[in-house]
Amino acid sequence: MIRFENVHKSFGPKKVLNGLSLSIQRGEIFFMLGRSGTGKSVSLKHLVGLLTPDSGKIWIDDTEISQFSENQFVPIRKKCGLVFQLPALVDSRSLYENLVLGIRHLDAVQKLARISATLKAVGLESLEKDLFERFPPSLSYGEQKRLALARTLLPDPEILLYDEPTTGLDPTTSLQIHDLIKKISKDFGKTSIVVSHDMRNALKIADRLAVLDAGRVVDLGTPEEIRRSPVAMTMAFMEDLQ
Amino acid sequence: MIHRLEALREHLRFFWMLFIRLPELFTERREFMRQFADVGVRSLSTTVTAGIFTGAIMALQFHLQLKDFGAESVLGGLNTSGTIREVGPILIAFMLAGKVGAFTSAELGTMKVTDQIQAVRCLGLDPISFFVVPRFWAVALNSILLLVFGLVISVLGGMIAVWMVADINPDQYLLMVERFATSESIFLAVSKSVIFGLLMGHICCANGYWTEGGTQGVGLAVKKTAVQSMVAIVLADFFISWIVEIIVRSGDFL
Amino acid sequence: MLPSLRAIRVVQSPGRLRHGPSLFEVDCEWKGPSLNVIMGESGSGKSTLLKTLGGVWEPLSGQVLFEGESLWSESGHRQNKSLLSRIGFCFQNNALFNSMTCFENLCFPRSQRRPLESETARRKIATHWLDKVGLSGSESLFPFELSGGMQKRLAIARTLILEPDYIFFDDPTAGLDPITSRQIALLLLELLENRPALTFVVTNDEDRARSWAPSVFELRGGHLNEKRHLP
Repeated sequence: MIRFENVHKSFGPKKVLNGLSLSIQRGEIFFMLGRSGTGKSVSLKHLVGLLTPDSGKIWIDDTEISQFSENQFVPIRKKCGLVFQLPALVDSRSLYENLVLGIRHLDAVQKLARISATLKAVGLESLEKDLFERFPPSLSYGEQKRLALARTLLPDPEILLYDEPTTGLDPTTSLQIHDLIKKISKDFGKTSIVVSHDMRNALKIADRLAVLDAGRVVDLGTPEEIRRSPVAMTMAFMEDLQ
Repeated sequence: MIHRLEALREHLRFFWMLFIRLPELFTERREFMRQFADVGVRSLSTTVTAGIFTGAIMALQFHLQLKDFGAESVLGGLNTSGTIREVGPILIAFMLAGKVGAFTSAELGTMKVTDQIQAVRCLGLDPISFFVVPRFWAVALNSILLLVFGLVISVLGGMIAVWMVADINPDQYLLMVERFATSESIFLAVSKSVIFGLLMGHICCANGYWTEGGTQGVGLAVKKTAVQSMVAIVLADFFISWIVEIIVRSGDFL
Repeated sequence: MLPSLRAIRVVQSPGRLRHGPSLFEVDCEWKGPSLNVIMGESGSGKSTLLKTLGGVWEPLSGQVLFEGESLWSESGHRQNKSLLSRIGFCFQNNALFNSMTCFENLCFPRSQRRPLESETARRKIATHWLDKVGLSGSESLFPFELSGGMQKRLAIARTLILEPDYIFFDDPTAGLDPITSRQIALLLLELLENRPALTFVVTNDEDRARSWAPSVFELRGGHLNEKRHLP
């Protein structure tokens, strides 16, 4: 279980998290929606130690991580995999080298077996034969996003964090990615936290959603509750779905 | 002023961290070999060109001066000594800083702003070991080797230049090289090559790794690398020459 | 003369490789002022098509004719400057000049294309456009100081400030949250109303596409299919 307790974070004069408090249950698919700049991506980055809060506490299971050092985050990062908004693949290394970044401790046979299964799970089996020859720039944007997801899945983290997984993708691919998120979460028993703008797909696959505004949670609930919600920001997000 | 001292302290810390991680090259040996070959191949033509023409320019200049004194016979030695001690290392280092240094800064900077460095951190790897250490040593070692190679080439450049322009016998030229290019000159040349190589490696990697702020940031990092490399090289050149001078004068040197 | 654009067997390859596979072959004609929406899957080449039609990239083969005239010379890849000045292209990432203020960004195209215009007149027009897109007060800010939505507004103003007859928008709502997206879509409609221009908008966003046009063009399987009615 993950818990944010009154977390504050500023970047210079700009306050991005203003008393963020929320908790996420094990095994659920949890969406965080909100306008740009409301702190959604920033909160995800706190979970893997890329950022440290100015104040407040953050728990992952029973471990409080808000003041952790870089070394202390090593086991946390094994538990929590972050899929970045930009694919963030290493352009200068082959697809294979990119995929094995998180599983270098395994032997070659184990690596290939896991890669095969994971590529199948994300719908990239066609790339399996070219893993050593091809490099990230030769893939389409959609393929790069899927490969980045595969790379994050390979070390088998319990918790998956998705930072705007479908921004910039067409509606068909967006739906496929959302279905993939759901499948991975349910089939492999992962906890998934998704930061997004996409209310339509969020309502389809989320167990619960939170709507953020000005650095804090303004609405929280199941898809049914959100659909009926009178909160202004939520209704603004729902407008396109009427 | 305090700001500059802070910056210097950060640089020293970063340099020390890269230096003590030399053993990690073994873990990332494939990447290091790749970087080393890449940098070397990219810089060879620049080094050869810089070397030949530095030697040639200096030879012609010396020739013009020595002619009035009827002392062309010592040209080979004087030119070589002057080139490998001073002008050669600086000019060749400048060209390498521009070519290799700027490229490495831009590459690391781009990786920073496209989250590649963050992504690697999240996968449990140390981005410094993974990205920076191989590049630092590739640039530093290549620079040292190329500088020495460039200086050797400069002897050739000088020889050809005065042979073509002033009809000086290559044998005569080379004979004088032996006489004037003392062990002290060679020591100076090699130590400058080592120091310049380490400086260039550090500066381009530090600025690339510290890039912030999108494509603007990458441009700024490259600019900083170019400027800082040149200033550092010139300052280092002065101090090394001065220190070696003191050592020689105190007679501790053969 | 009314604007018209004709694409005659226009071929482009991914990455514009000289000998690569072709991404699409488009043969289409548009006559008279209208707002045309182009959609298609990621990787289908919508952006590439827009850039090819809009004169940013030369087609691999085929011709793009504006009122019967080609933008590109027979040889030497040179462009017809007077025709170019009648085209406005708004890039997906805005392509704003980071070293210039908002005001300077707007003055720049006019100073380039209308060099005989007086400084006073130019400044008046720039101020007018900043106001029109809701950015008055941001004159001396730099693009990186603006939010994503504000940058998009500036980019739109810069595209339209020369009153082009041919306008191209590459995914104008990409990456914006739904609320900002709606605002930008409305802004575009407002600005394009009563404007005698031939306009093309590439988008992934079905909700926004619906607000711009009752039907769309779809780039699929390497061809541009006309008029799919949106559900």
